[in-house]
Amino acid sequence: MIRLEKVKKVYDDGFQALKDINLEFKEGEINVLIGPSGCGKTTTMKLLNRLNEPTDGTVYINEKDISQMDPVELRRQTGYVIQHIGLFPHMSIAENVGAVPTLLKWDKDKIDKRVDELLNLVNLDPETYKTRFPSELSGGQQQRIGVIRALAAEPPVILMDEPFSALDPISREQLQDELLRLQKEINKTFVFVTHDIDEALKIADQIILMQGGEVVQKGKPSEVLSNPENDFVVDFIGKHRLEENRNSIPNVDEVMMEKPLTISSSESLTNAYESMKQHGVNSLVVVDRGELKGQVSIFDVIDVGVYENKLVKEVLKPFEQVVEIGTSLKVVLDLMEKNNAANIPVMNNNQFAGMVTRGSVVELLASVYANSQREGA
Amino acid sequence: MDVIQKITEIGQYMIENWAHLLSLTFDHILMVLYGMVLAAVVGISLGIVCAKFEKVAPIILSIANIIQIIPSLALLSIIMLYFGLGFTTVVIGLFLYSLLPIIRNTYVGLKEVDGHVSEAGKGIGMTPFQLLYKIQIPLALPFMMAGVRIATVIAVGVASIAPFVGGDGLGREIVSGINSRNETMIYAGAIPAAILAVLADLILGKLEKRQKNKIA
Repeated sequence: MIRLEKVKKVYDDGFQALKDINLEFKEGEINVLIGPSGCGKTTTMKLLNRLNEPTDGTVYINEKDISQMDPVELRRQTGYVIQHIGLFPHMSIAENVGAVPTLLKWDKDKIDKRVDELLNLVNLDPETYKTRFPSELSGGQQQRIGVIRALAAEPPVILMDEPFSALDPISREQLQDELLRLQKEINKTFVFVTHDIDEALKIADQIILMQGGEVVQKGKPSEVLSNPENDFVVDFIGKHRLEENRNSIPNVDEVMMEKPLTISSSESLTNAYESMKQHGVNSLVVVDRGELKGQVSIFDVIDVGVYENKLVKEVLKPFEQVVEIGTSLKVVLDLMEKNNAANIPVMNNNQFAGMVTRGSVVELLASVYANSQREGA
Repeated sequence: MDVIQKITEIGQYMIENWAHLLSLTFDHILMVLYGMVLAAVVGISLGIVCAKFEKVAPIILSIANIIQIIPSLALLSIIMLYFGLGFTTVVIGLFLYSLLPIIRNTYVGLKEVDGHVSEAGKGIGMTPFQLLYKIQIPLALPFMMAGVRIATVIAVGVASIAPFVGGDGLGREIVSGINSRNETMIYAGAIPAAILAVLADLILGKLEKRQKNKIA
C-alpha cells in the first residue's frame, strides 16, 4: 500500500505544484490520477519512484518511508511506463524486456524464460519478436513492450504516465482492454496518470481527480459519476457522461449499506435488544465470522421476551433471498417487491458484504435527485 | 605525351623505391594512430564531462577551439620548444589538433540522445554510470565515430609537415623533393598521403554507418 502524507512540492521558481496532498493508493487496484494539465498528477506519480522529491511531507510504501531507501533500488522494484514509450533503440526486444532483470543480475536462462512468458502475455510471438528491434514494431506493439518491460521483475507497484495517449484510438482501446485483463491475472498495484476521463472511467478502481495541486475528489468511478464534488468535477467529467450514468441502472455495490449493524448468533437476546435500542434500528443482521446466519428483528425479541435467558440463534430468521455482489439493482428491487422484503443481503463469495435496504434505495434516489438540482442551477 | 610520361616516371620511381616509401607510410600511419588513440581517450572523456556538467562545457570547448585555430606548423613548433625534435612532438601535435572534433561530437552526440529514452533508463533503476555506458554512449556512438573520422583525416594531412619538427612519415619524401627540386619525389610522397586520407575517411565512414544502422 502506498500512502502520501502532507506532501508539498515547490519548484525552484516558486511554483507550488502540490499543496498538502494526503492520499492512499490501494493495493491490487488500478489507481488513476486525473486532471487538467498542470494539476500535479504527474508530479505526484513521480514522487513514488523518486524521480521527484517532495519539498515537504512523506511518502510511504508498505509503511516504509521511501526517502530512506536507495532510489536506484526503489526504481528497480517499481515498474515504470512512460508516454513516449522510451524503448532502448539499440537493444533487441528481448534485451529491452529483460532490462530490469539484467540490472538485478538474474541468470540468463531465467531472464530468457521470463521474456518469453511476458511476450506471450501480450500475444506477441516470442520467436518472431525477440530478435527484432523497437523501430521494426508498430506504436501499439512498442507500448506493449513498454508495459511488459515494466512488469518483468514482478514489481508490486507499477507507475504509468499517460501510457496510451500517444497511440491511435484503436490501439489505445486494445491496450486498455489488455491492461484490464492483465490486472485480473497479475493483481498488481497500478498508479496510472491520464487526462482522458473516458480512459479513467473505463479502467479505474479508484479515481483521484486533481486540480491546481490539490485532490478534488477520489473514489470509485461510479461514486464520482453519481456524486461529483463540485462544479469543476462536473465540468471535467462532462455533463453528457453524468447524464448517461444517471440513466443507467446501478448495481447493488453502489446501493448497499456496507456496514449494517451485525450481531453474532451466540450473543444473548438482551444484548441484541440493547444494541437495537442504542442505535435506533429495528433489526440486526446475524453474522458469524463473515458467514451470514439470518436476521433478528425487534418483534422476534419482544415476542420471546427481552429478559428471557435466550440466545440470538434461537430466534433468528434466515433470509429467504440473497444476491451476489455486482447484481443489477433492477433484480434486487424486483425481489424486494415480490417478497415484500425490507432488506436483502449482498454476498461476496459466500461472505456477507452488505445490505440493500429500503432506506439505502431512497438514499440513492436522493443523491441522483440532488445532482440534477445542482446541474440545473 | 607529357602527362603519360610523367605518370610512368612517377610509377617507375615508386616501384624502384617501394621499400623506402612503405616504411615512410608506416611511420605516417603510426604517428596518426598514436595521436588518434590519445585524442580519442582524452577527447571522449572530456566530451562526456561537457555533457554531464553543462557549466564547464563552454570552457572546455573554447580551449579546444583555440588550439584548433593555431596554424599547424606554429603549433608543432611551439610543442617542439618543450619536447624537442622528433616523434613525440608530432604525436602531441596531432593529439591536440584532433581534440576539438572528438570533444564536440561526443558532446553533441550525448545531448542528442532522446530524453525519454534516458528517462526510461533512469526510471527502471539504472545508476548514472549504467545509464551512460548502457544507453547514452551506445546511442551517441555514431556521432563520436564521425568525430574520430574527421580528426583522422585532418591528422593524416597535418602529419605531412612532421619533418619540419624532426618527425618521419611521407612528409619526409615531400620535403626532400622540394629541397632537391625533384617533382617526382614530391608526387611520390603526396600521392600515398592523399590515398591514406581517403582510405581513412572511407573505412571509418563505413564503420560509422554500420553503427547508425544498428540504432535506427
